[in-house]
This record gives sequence, C-alpha cells and structure tokens, in this order.
Amino acid sequence: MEIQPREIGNEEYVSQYGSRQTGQPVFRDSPRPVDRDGLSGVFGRVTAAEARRPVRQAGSPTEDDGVRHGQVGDLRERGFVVSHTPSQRNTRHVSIRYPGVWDEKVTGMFNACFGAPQWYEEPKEGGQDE
Amino acid sequence: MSDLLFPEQGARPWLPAENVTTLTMLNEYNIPLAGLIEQGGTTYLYVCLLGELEELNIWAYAGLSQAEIHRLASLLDDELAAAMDLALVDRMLVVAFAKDHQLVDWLRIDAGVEGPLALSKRFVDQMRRRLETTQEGVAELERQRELASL
Repeated sequence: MEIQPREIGNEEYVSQYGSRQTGQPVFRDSPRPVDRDGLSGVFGRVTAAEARRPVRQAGSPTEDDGVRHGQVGDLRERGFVVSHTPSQRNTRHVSIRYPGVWDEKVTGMFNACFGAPQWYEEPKEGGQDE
Repeated sequence: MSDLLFPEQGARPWLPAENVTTLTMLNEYNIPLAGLIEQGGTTYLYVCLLGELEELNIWAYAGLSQAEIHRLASLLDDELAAAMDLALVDRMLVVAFAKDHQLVDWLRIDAGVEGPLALSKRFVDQMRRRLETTQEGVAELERQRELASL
C-alpha cells in the first residue's frame, strides 16, 4: 500500500521515542551503520504511550517508556533534513537525516533540538497518561 | 517445500539469509522492524517481537497464506499491528535472537495464541534449556577418557 508523504512545516514538532528498560535512558542521537535512513521519529507532540505504540509490538507502556519533542524548524536550522517517510505500521514516521558526517558535533546539535524526556506515568483515574 | 524460514547466522534479522528477497517493509524505527520477505517461493512475515530499540532483540518469522499477505498489505497502523499478531498465532514459527543486528541463534516454536510477549518468554526459556543441555553434554564429552587424554 502506497502512502503519500506530506510536507512537514517548520512550526511542527517531532517526537522521538526512548526507553530506559535496560537501565540507561536510550534516545538514539546518532545513526548506527545499520540504521536505514538517519534517525526515526513521528510528527506531532505525542505522549510516551503514543510514541511507543508504533515501535513496540509487544506489551503495554511502562515508566520505562519515554518521549522527547523537538521543533522541526530548529532541526532544519541546524542542517538536518526532516521528512515524512510513512510506513503502513507507522503512518506518522519521519526520518531525520544529516547531509554530511554525523560526528559528535552533529550529535550535540541534534540533542540541543529536543526537550527533556517525558516518561510514561500510569494514568490517574479518568485521566490521560501524561 | 517447507513453510519454515531457513535463517543464517550473522545475517541481518530483516534479511535473514542470502537467498531471501525483501518484498515490503511494513514498519521501521531506525531499523526495519517488520516486513514481508520471500525465500524459496514462500512469503514470510518478519517481526521484531522484543528489543526494538536495544542491541539484543527477538524476531519471529511466519509463513503466510495468500489471504494473509493480501490482508497485511491492506491495513494501516494499529489494525496492521493486530493483523501481524494474528499472523503469529497457531502455527510453527522460527523465532530468533540477534545481537548487534546479526542473527545469533533460533528455534522452531509451535505458537499458540499467547501473543508476542509470552512467545518471547517461551523462546528465552527454551533457549536457556537448550543451552544448559548443550553445556552438560559438552562437559560430559570433555570428561571422556579419549578426549581428556589429549
């Protein structure tokens, strides 16, 4: 099934899913050799539970699931290319690439575009997860 | 023709043998997490069951019918996730673990309706039992006089 990508505006946000289930918080901030197309995220300011949903196939959100948000304009100002690259399982998927060597300086710039992680909290009675 | 995938050690989980062809990637997050692949004329679904963001992960490979292929090709988002779960139910699967995105070892597992998390737990339990049996066997072989004298 072909899903048409859409333009993502500078005023929009991207959300990056992270996890601390192995003890240390993991928010990928540089691509590994196996990573396909830069780093992944989803467009919009989504909750930790929403960020987790298209990534994890099993289980339910826990306090080890987190999310951080960054504005697309900030990423583009620093040279990152942010594009909507939907898949069937994750129609909100975005790719964040850097057209050059992704070294420590680039990693620092990438992290500077994102706010502090927000970790999943069990919903209070009748409330949302965050 | 077997309807079980034949993986190769060291292969990428999303391209689990040299004679595998990628058909469709259904999901990615930094790396491919689910998709359809073909080996020997059979179409398989691959899904990362656990460890999507981590360096150690568990993957499942399920042979699909034509109806299942069409269904998976027609769904989006959470409906697709539910259909992928269903495609792992009530059939023989190959379940594998990978380290640093290279396949290390795998088992054939007769999956019921337990779902991805319980399936992963069963895989880990079976893998540990196999490892213990192998370790005991190797230790016993090492104690045999002919080998111990060398």
